[in-house]
Amino acid sequence: MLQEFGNALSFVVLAAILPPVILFIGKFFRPSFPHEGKLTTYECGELPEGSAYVMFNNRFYLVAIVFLVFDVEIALLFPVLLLFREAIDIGGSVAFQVFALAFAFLGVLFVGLVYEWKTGDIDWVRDAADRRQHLESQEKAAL
Amino acid sequence: MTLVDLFVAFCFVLGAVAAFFTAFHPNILYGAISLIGSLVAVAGIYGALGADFLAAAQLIIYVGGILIVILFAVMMSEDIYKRRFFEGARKYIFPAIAAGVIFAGLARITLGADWSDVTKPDFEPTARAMGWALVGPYALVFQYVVVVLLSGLIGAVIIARPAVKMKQLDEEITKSGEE
Amino acid sequence: MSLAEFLSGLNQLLGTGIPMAIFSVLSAVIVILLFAMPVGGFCTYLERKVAADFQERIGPNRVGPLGLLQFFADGIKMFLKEDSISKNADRWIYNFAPSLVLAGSFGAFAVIPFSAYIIGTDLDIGVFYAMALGSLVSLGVLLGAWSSDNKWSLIGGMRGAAQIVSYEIPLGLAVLSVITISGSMSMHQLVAQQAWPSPGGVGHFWNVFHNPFMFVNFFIYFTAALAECNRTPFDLPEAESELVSGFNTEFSGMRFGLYALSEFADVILFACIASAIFLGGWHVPFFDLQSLNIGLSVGELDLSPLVQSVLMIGVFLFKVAVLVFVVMWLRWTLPRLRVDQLMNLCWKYLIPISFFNLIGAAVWTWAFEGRSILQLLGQVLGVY
Repeated sequence: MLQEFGNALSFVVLAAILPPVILFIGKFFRPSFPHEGKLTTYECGELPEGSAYVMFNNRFYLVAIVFLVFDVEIALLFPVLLLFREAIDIGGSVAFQVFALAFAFLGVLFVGLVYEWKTGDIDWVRDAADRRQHLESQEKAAL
Repeated sequence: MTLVDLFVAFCFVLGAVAAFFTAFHPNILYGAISLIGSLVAVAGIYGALGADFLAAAQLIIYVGGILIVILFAVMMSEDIYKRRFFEGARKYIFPAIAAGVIFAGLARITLGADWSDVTKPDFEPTARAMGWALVGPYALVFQYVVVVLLSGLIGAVIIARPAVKMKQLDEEITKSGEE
Repeated sequence: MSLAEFLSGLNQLLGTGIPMAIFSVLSAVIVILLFAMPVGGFCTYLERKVAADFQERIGPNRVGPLGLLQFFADGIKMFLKEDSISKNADRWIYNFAPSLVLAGSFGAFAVIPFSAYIIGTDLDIGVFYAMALGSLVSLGVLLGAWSSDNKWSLIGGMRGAAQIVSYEIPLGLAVLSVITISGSMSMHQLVAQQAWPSPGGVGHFWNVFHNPFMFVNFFIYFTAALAECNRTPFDLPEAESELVSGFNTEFSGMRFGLYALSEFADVILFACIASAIFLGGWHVPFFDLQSLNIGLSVGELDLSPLVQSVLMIGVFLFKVAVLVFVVMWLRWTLPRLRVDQLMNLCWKYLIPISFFNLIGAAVWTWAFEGRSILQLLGQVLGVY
């Protein structure tokens, strides 16, 4: 198995060193005439205004957190669903056990998704009427 | 000194150097990015020990998930380049104590473990064994994990909610209705 | 038999003593430098020709016959272009980001089963490994966008990271359903099980026709893969009309060439994975290519696997080409989705649908013991 990993690693390493190598070789062929205009940030021909590091809405962060939870779920479901076929061949109750555990796992997080949907947390754009409705359902959920 | 030994040594060095940068680099974004090196090194060590599934899971969950969350958090913090945290010796005392305690615990576990079958020439795939463990002896832990995930999800979502009052929204609606 | 074993058989034939490490590097070089990169470059030409066709014009036809050497000329141009980096760009991260993106795209070619005998490495965790490397791409996009000191890049990069990361979930769920009905993560196994059903054989024909849930899952996989590669209708991160060029605005010349290459490599990669796990890889209906026996041999090495491999690679690449063509077709047909429509599509449509498809596929597998519609039909008709 280590041999297989070595093979896979050689692919990744080759791909990762490709950009620096290509750019390095190109350095001998490329012209280099740095000029003020070329070195400023591109903003459709105007001079760049303000800092480039804009403040972001926190919905990006929310999407990342929700993704993280579902990602862990998928990663944990892989080994369990892998043996679903094998469990079916073994017998009825083992298959049911695997099925029930895997889908209890899935179901709990699905309930989480439904909760977020209802309280409007996974909406990207929130207009006032929607937000009012969501605020109501949030307060009801908090009780 | 086989190729595998060299690889593991490289992973150790990479992990240590990256962790050093994460902890001590003055620019917090560089610290977050050097975490990539540390996490990938750990994945490499898992692979070298024959835990194939765990190595890939490390890449998916840590590098593809947790690191993205950390980077988003760092990139969204206001004036992240201007913030300075504790200055002087106070910056190092408490983390040093905590790190020392954790190091002692990990060293004890590591030195007391049975490493005899690490140098096996051929490892077996582990994903199936993990699966049977998760639905067998560790089924309760498996379900517990999902409850913890759910609580994390809901907690994050509640914390990230904007703080608006019902009255504010009502006023906004009537104002937009009048326009 | 993996490519390494095939090459080591060749090694024994030729009588040299080159160690296996060299063979693994050789297989990486062959697949990446001689397949993925040229085909990726060719896709840039193909894209322009296909676009021209849809827009009723001719497209590149000057360089070489039918303009076929256009991508070559483009590559040389990009290679020789001046590399102007803006003053305030973050050098280290700027240089590091394309490596991440390319490592994510090309690294996963290690597990693509081109034929029954030729696969870079038949890892037991094949598809899972491919997914793990795909998650590096989102990191590369985000870091590349942040390091170029440009607000529009940053917005494009953030949106890109949010999009790639959200659509990994329906992607993962669709792949999970394939694993549920197949019981293996190894790409070779997944394709081998999609043979034409025969009495006593394990084949259950292509996974996309296995059961109705898998059929829908194929389209979910395809849609999620489009979003992962930042292709229209999901190409907001590089929205040409909104953000100049999105996250790769500040990358010029060869650096941009590397990003464009990685985008096409991603498209080809997802098309390869989709052909392998849904469309049956190297299998053709009605006939089992592995039973083809030519009877040629050179010394001790039997040459019929080679001939079979050539046919299998042809079949596989044909399916990949069809999918890549559909991806390009969609690009020049559909308008771009807005950011909130994109997120809604993922979280409110694709994820619930793929959840239920996963449950449906599992129930089907349980009820019919993993048999596909075709196998059930065969049993009903008394064929076996």
